[in-house]
Amino acid sequence: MNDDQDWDQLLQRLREEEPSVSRVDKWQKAVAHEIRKPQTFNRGVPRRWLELAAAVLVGVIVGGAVFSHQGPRVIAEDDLANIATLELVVTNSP
Amino acid sequence: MDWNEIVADLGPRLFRYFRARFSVEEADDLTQETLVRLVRKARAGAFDPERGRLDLYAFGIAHFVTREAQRTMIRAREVAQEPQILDQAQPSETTDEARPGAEEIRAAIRFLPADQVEILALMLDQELTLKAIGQILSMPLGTVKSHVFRAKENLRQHFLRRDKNL
Repeated sequence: MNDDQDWDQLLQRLREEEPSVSRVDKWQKAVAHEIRKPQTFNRGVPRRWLELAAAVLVGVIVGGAVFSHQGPRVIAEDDLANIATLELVVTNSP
Repeated sequence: MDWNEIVADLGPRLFRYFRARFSVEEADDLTQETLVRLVRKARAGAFDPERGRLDLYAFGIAHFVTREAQRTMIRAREVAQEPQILDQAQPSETTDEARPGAEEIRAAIRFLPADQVEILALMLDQELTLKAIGQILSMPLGTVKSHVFRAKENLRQHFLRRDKNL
């Protein structure tokens, strides 16, 4: 390793490594197998804004339906009952 | 996309990249893993041809596959405590004349810092410029050049020490 020529020769020696034809065939078969596989739906985090907007819309509709069915008064009464229970627990705790 | 053509072109290039660090069998498996991931990502629409070249994208995947493989293989080799035997036992697919030199170089490369090995492995692909290597590794061109300079220097020192010991 004395100069750039040696460096190029060094790289060239490593570049001489060629895979056999059977290896390339094997990779082509693996890729073909992957292509034939049915594509699975991505259930991860929504990537598109449209998906996100649709999810928010569904949430608002479902939430609205539950809210209108239960009614604000019932929820308020429930809240008061919860607060009363919480006060009781806090005041009675040692 | 004609995947047979893509594999015929990219397969050997990725194989050479992996071969800089891994045995023949390991390089074979890692090449296949990279190509399969490439197909998956392309089918999922993760690759946009207008934003970059497919080969650069493939080498980007190969970079991550290498890191994953190193984590698992280094652990396995530490357990075995025989790092040299694994590589020497692998049959080489090079010509007889080139074999000893290439193996010796690979052994020397193994002692270089990780960034320098990565850049050297990518430099084996003659279609990748230093600028393209910088894109793959998300590294400025100046840093790539600096790693190349240091890798050259480290290997020069390594072979100088070897010559003195002979």
